[in-house]
Amino acid sequence: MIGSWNKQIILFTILSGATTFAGLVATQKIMVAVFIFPLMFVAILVYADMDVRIDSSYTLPERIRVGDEFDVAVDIRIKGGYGLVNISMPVYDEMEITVGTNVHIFYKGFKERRETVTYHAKAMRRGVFPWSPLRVDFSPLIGTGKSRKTVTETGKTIQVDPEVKMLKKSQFMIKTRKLKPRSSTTRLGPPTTDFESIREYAPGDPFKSINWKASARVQTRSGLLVNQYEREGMKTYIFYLDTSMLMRRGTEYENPLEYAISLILSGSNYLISKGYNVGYWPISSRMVRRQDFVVPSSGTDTFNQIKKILLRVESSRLITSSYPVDRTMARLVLETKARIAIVTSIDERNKILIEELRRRLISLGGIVTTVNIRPEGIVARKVDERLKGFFSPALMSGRKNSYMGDVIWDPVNETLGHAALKLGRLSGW
Amino acid sequence: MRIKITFLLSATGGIIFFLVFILTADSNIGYVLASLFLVFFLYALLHPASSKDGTNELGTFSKVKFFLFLFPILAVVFSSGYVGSFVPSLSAINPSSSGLLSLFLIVMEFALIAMIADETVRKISRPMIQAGYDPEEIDTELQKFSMHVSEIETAVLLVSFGFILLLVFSPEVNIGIFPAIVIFLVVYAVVIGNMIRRN
Repeated sequence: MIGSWNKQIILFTILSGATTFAGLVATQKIMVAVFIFPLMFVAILVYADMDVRIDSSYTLPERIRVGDEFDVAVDIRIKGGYGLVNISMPVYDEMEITVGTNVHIFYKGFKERRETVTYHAKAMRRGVFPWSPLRVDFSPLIGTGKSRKTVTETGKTIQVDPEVKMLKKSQFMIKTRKLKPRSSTTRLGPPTTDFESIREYAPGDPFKSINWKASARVQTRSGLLVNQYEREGMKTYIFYLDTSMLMRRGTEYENPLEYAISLILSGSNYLISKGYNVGYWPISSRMVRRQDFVVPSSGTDTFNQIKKILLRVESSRLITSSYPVDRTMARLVLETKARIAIVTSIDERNKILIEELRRRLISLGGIVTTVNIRPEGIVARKVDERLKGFFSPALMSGRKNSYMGDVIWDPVNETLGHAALKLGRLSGW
Repeated sequence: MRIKITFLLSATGGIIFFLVFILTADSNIGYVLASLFLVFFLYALLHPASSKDGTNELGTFSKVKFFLFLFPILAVVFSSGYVGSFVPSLSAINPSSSGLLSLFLIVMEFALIAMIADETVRKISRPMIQAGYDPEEIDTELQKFSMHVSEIETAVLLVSFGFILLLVFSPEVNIGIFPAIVIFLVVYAVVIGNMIRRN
C-alpha cells in the first residue's frame, strides 16, 4: 500500500525536479519555483508523520445457549500515523454472524481515532470453543510510517450449552394403553452396606464384593460367589447414546446427535428432579474411558457431569461395526435392572446391530426403549421448506416390516417435549 | 459509489490547466501540444475507472499521467529562453504568457497528486470488498483518506502560490535563477533522500 503510493510520489517529485532544469533552459524563474509544491508536499509526508500507537479492548460473552444471539464489541484507539487500520474481531467456530461483520477498516487521518465496532451473532452448535485473537493491522497509506500488526490473544473460551427443555410432571400424566407393572422392577438404586444375599459372580462385579469363603465352600459354574447388598430405593435410568456416523446425517448444526443431546439433557433434568439415579453411556465399539460416561446417581452434580460430557461429544467418522455393551454398564444393568433409553438413528446399516444390542441389554435384565431420531425431515427442510412434512413420524412408523425403534422422532415435525412424552410413556417416567 | 473528491480535484485541475494552455497557445504547435495534453489527461483520468481491477491492465498505477508534464514543458522551452531565441519557428505559446503557463504548472501538479490518491482508492477498495468488508464502510473510510490528501495538498497549493508570488514580485527576496536552483536542489536532495531511506 505505502510502497505503491510513495513510489508514485517519488516519481512525481523526480519529474517535477526535471521541470526545474526545463525552467533553466527556458529561463523561466517561475518554472523553477513551481518545484516548491511537490517538495513541500513530500516534506509534510516525511516529517509530520509519527509512529502509530494502537490501544484496544474487547467484550466477549463466555457462556450462552444454542440459538442465543449475542454481541461482540471491540474498542479501539489509534494515535499517530496516517493510514488504514484493519480490525479482525475475535470469532469462534460454529457461530453465524447475523448483523454486521467481524472485519472493519478505518482511515486514521490527522486526528486521534477512537471507534467501537460490534457484530451480532448467533450460537449455532453446543460445545466449548476458543475465541480467535483480536488482530489489528496498520498500513500507512500516505507518509513514511511503518506497518504494524498487533495480535492480541484473548485466551478466552465460550461455552455454548445445548438446549434443555424443562419437562413438567403434568406432561407425563397421560393414561397409557400399555400395561405397566404396579411396582417398577427398576425401583433399585446404588448398593448400601446392608447385606442382602449371596449370588454367583457375574462379569463386572467389583472384586471387593467377592465372598472368598463362600466361594471356597460351594462349587459354582464361575467358581466365585459375591455378596449382594440392599439397594437404595431409587430407580436407575441410563441414557445410551449412539455416536456413530449415522448420527451426523442432516446438516452440521441440525442432525440426530444434536437433537439426541437435547433430549438426553431434558430427560436427565426431569428424572433427577423426580429422584431417579440417572446415568449416561456412549455406545462405542471400543472401551469407554471413565471420563466419557456417568455412573447413575442423583442430584445436580450428576446432571452437570452429563452436560459436561455431552458438550464435547462428537460423532464418529466411521460406521460402527459392532455395538458391544460396556462391562461396567453391563454390571450396573444386571444389578439395578435399570431402564435404558438407546438414543440412535436407525437405518439399514445399523438396524441389526441395534436390535442385537437391545436384546443383550434385555437379557441382562434391563428395560430398553429405543429412540430413533429421523434425519429425513432435516434434509428435506434444507432442500425445500415445503418438503419437511413429507417424512412424518406416522409415515415412518407405518413401515412395520422392519424394526424402527420404539419411539420414532422426527425433530422437524415434532417438538422435543412431544418426543420426551412418548419416551416417558414407554419408559414409565 | 460516491464521486471521490480526489477525482473532482484532478478533473478540475486538469481542465483549468488545459484552458490556460489553449488560451496561451499562439501557433499550430501550441494547439497540437495543448490537444495532446487533453487527450493524455482524459485517458489518465478515465482509464483506471474502466479497467477491471481499478488500475490499468498490469494491475499497477497508470504511468500515462506522468507524460502530461511533457507537453507544457515543451511548449515553454520552445517559446522562451535559449531554444525560443534560436529557433523562433518552434514557438508554441506567446512568450509573454509562458510565465503564466509555468505558474499554472502548480495546478497540474495538484491535479496529479489528486489523481494518484484517486487511483489508490480504486486500487484498495475492490479487493477489500471481495474480501468481505462492508462496501459502505470502505467507501466512507476511503472518502476520509481522499479528504485528508485533499486538505494537505490544498494547504500546500496555497502556501506554494503565496511563496512563488513573494519570490517573483518582492524585490527583497528576488534571487537569481542559479541560486534558486542550488537552494532547491539542496532541499530536494535532503527531503527525497529522507523519504527513500524511510521506505
